[in-house]
Amino acid sequence: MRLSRYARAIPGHASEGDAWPTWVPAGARRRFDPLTRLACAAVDRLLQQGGELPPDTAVLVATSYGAVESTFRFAQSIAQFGDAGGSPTPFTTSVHNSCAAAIGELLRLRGPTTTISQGATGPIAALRFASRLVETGRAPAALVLAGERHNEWSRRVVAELSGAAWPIGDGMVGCLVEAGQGPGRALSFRPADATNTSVLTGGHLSESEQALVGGTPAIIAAHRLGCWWPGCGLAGLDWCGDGPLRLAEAEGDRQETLWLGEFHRS
Amino acid sequence: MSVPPLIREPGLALAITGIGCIGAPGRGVDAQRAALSAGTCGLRVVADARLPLTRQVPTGVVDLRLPPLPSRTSALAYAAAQDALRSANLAPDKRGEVAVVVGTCTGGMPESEAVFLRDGDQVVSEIYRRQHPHRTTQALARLLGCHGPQGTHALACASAAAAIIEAMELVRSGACPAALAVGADALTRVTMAGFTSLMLVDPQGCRPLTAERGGMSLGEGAGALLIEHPEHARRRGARVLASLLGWGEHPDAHHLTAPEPGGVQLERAINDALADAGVARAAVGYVNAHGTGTRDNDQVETTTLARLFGAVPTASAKRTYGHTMGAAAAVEAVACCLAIGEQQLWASAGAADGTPLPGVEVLRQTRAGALNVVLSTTLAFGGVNACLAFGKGERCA
Repeated sequence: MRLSRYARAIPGHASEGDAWPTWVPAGARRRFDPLTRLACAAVDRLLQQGGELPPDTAVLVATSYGAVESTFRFAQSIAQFGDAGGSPTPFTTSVHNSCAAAIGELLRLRGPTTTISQGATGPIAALRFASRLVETGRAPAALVLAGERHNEWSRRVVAELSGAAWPIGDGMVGCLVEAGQGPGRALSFRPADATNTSVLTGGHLSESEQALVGGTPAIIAAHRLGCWWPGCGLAGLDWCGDGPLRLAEAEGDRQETLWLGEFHRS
Repeated sequence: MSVPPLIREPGLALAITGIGCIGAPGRGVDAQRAALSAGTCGLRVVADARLPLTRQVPTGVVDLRLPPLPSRTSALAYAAAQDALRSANLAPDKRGEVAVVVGTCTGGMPESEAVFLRDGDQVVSEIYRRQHPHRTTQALARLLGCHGPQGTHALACASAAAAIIEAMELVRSGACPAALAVGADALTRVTMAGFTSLMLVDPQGCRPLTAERGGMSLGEGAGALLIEHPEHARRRGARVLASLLGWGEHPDAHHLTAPEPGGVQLERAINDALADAGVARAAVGYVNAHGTGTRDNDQVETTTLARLFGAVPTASAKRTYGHTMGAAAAVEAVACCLAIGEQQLWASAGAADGTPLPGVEVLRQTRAGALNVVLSTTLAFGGVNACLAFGKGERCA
């Protein structure tokens, strides 16, 4: 199993922003939540790396807060017009899987789909499930999108309640999981043999957790990004050189780990 | 009827050794059995101060004392999960490697929306910490002593189906010997107002799988299954209630809220579940349909089922529980386990008073029958189509 393609979209970053791809119709642009816009930008970069995806590609999205702008707008419409007067458009896009559904609909992808919502460990859980789907022949490939896009309200709430050491940011990472030999990095959920494995993390590891991964230099993506979002560790993947990596993320009292082999070009 | 082409070798059949459920009919297996057997309508118009629309339309509210957890969804999930582990007779000191995989749409939204709608968007409340869906998973793992892998799926009304599917694959892959799959959702103002805004709620209460249907009814609840590797279940001498044989899932990639009228991907999901189970279409004796009571959902489902199976006995549990959203596939998985365990084809509540949709046999009354394979279908926003296949416990015993 390998990560065959990798891309990221980060609003405000030069050449990594969230401009609409040409394959997103104008009508859809008006309707989509900002989270979906960010996902479209990451997917567009993936498509540029290797062309269209197989029709039965699985689509898995890891997002903690989902389409929070739509949820916020719908809740405001209830506050303003009462429970019987809510606005249907933001309700439909507020469902947690609306981003995965939009990507699937636009690209006509009909492999198994889900949306995983478990904080910093969500992207690793999504990659775990994606690998299983590909390994068992359920899908020829799995598109994994991991990211967050806050609105002003949720950014304030999360910043205040999470106590994060970094500003709360936005971003989306896209990966393609495929089987067999080829370019990319091998993916493993069991300890790799490599001894000189660098540790990559988003930055949410506590001091004791940092100690757990100690002995090798930790690459903290939030330092580089200047902000943090759940699973932003994956965003640091191409800042780590071509050597083997261990991605470690913690959520609550739980730490999840993913081993990534050396980067291979075709 | 011909055997559908296998997409691959059948997967490992897993043992369901514990079930738990809480919903409008009550808590525990006996309450579910009584309601399913009688085809009881669990929908009521109530004056729930938390939920203004419950005064106007019937819903499947849980009117029971719940465990004291920070969110109502977590409390429902914990009640069902406790019962599942109790029925599995899995002692606390044997649960260390058990995975916890939860499906939920709303998580702690009931508590968070109350604060938001009361205090406005400028107040940052500690209560917002409860909103996150993963809090439910973490709470179950901690309180029940299950320290295996964790997963939290938010796949709209198919959330519990996704949780059951991942739980199956965790056990099949050897990541854990057993997994607790839970679906849970509490009623919220946002979901009630949302489906009302889409004009999908039947003011008379849902009448699924009938020509008179006029929309859905919402409900709340939780269902839980302990899914074990058959060898693990055998070694500890567990009683196997039913087998989990296979799954299929394919999205329509058609529309965010409307199902694809031809049911092409639903058919693929069903065929995949059968192939994974290694059983022929002719073996299916009963289908628990998603059957929400909306015009489009019930039309697509009955047409697709009729095309695949002919007049297969079919029922919807939505008038008994309300549509419990992210919990639905788990609540109804419990109904499927009871059906196959007791060789009973549950009535489709409300069908006796209406005109059943053609093509399939909509069950107007509960009846006994020789059941080898039961299917449960789930459709959801995002065009999701999922199917789970259940078999007799003997398959894994």
